[in-house]
Amino acid sequence: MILRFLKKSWAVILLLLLWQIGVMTSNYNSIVVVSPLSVLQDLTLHASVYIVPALWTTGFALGGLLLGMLAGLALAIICWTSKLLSGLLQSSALLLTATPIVCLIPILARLFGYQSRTELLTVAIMTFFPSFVYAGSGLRRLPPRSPELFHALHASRWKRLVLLALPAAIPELAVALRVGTAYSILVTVVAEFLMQTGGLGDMFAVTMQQFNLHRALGASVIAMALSTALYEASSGLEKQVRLRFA
Amino acid sequence: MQRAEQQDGGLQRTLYQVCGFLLLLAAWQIAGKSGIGGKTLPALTEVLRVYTISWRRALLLRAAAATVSSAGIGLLLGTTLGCLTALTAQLLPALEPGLDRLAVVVNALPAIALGPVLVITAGREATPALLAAIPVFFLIYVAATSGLHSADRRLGQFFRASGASWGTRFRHLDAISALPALLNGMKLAVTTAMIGAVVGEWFGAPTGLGIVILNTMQNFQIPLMWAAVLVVAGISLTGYAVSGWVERVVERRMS
Amino acid sequence: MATIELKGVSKEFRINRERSVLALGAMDLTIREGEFIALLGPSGCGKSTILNLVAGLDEPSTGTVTVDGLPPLQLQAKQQLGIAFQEHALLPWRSVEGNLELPFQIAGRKPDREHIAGLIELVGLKGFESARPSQLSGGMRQRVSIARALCLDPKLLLLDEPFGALDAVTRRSMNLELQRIWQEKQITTILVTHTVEEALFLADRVLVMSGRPGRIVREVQVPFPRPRAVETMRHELFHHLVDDLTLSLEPEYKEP
Repeated sequence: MILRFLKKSWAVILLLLLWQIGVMTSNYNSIVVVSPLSVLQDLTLHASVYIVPALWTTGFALGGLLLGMLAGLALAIICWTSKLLSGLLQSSALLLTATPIVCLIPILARLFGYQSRTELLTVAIMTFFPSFVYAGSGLRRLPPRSPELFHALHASRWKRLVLLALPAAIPELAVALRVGTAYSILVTVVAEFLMQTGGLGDMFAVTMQQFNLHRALGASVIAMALSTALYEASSGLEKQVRLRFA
Repeated sequence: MQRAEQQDGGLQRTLYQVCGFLLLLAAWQIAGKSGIGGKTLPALTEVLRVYTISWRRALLLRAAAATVSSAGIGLLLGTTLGCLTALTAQLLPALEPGLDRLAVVVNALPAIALGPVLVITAGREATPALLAAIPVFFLIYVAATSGLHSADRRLGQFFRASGASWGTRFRHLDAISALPALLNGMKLAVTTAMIGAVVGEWFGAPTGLGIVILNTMQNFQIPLMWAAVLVVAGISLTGYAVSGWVERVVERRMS
Repeated sequence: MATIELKGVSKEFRINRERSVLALGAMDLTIREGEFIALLGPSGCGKSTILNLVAGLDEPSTGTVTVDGLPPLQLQAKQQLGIAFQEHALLPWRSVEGNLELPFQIAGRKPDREHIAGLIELVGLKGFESARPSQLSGGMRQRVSIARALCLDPKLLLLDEPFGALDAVTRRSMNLELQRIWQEKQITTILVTHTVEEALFLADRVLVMSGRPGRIVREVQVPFPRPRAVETMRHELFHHLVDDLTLSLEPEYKEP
């Protein structure tokens, strides 16, 4: 058990150790550079302070993720039904995939207001693209000759979607979910930081202004842990799905 | 016969895509003119007019040069580190689970937390490049490890049976098999590096597109802000297109 | 059961604006009700093209294809077409039972559990109802694929090299199985294959095809009575016919 933990986490522990040693040997002021031990101390002593922001951030990240995934899937299905629509939308989708969405946060904030709904929207837009791209390729990645089989059985478009294309797209959707979760917490935190709408990003911004570096870094450690946990959970899910669907 | 259909279909698809792109631009123009988005969403022509004003063009060019060099350094650094870490994992499989976890955790480092720390330890100028390097490192590490694993098992056995040394095997088999996955990762890394550089600049870099975006937002210079965002998007797209082209060339060479 | 008629059928594939390839020269062919036909030929001779035309998956460039006097699409619409491919085309996320329920669901009918259980037994997969394709061997997957083709009691069965990916031993035992299954149903069947023994063992009539453009170069009425058993394959006449047909598959073969 401990051995397994060490096997998976030795590199992270090493990194933390280097940081601790770096802080202890350097002569930076402890107000500007914080050691991991002192952050850990704040985390354990004032754990209750972190709970509400952490839940807030997780809620918005997952809500936005769900919204983005559903929107991406819906648009992919619309594209699937029509060559014209898929052609028309593909260039815009590619354009926006290559556009750094995080840079759009200031604009989104201006357009939709400095409110929580903008936060949700940012995460949704961010996760919409992987969902759209992967769902689109998944809907077309069909078992060999199965399109002919469905054709020979005179399957309607609807049956083709429900019985063939959608189940075939599930593994790719799982990949989209993993890619999306990798971003969701981070984007939520950046949005919260810029708009100060609550959550860990807001907490970070406020405590930084008060030079309460322990707490600020504590908030980001929580964000990291959440992000890592979500990523590993979705990777696990993806593996399960792959086993089931291949 | 299939190729013929692909050519015809390809032409049609390109046509649709161009139409879709033009429609997007038209929609923007109309939305801007009608004033749906208030002052925040100017018409496309207003944004484009920014590029005709020479001192603004000079400002954007200077900023773009700074951002591109940060993103480029970050891309290079992240790619090198990612490849080296993936190689370590390949050479010493016992270390792999730990390195996997490290890559995930490093990627999960919130830029907003790392930014201030980097500003203090590495300086304002270096922060954008370092923040660009981190997600690139993650992407490249994931792409390179999965690419290194993708070598045909039978070919691997063939190399072992032929008594090839690790170096020979690596040069002739693993590195080549990893190339497509690596290039696919590079394609995504370009955009990621741009994001990292722009966000990194928000922590007080002296110049750059991120700074222009932030300043213009605060000063209500909305057309200039959009113009800066378009430059970021344009650079990302160019990088994406170039790496996509390299990927296709390599793919054609290898298949 | 169905009678199939091809009249002056040809198929051309466009390569680009100037060039096109004649995949199938003008041909006439009549398949009687309840007949088992084998289309034998090297790859690229247009035998799968014929199958696709009869299935209504493709349109002929000239001529007409009719099944019981109607276009193939009518048969499709009534879901009276059973089809099995070399690439089993099973849905990997469904169990054996789920894959057999698929034709019913596509047709918008309630799956007939009893019928499905009977088919699973017929193809010898009792006990594997809830296994998924990835857990089955290649031969077993083809059994499921054939059972699925029979699900809706089709009037016409089309088999596109169903055993093409199997090893010789499995293929032979699958031939015996198919012969037994067919004996029970006696459906009009077209089998596309490039194995001479398979064609001779299973079919009532073997049509040998040659490519560029695809055409029928020879027709052999198979003389062996049904039901056929392994012994048939050891018959001297069988060996003789195998040699004879193998010869006519050679590219230099001249039509008699």
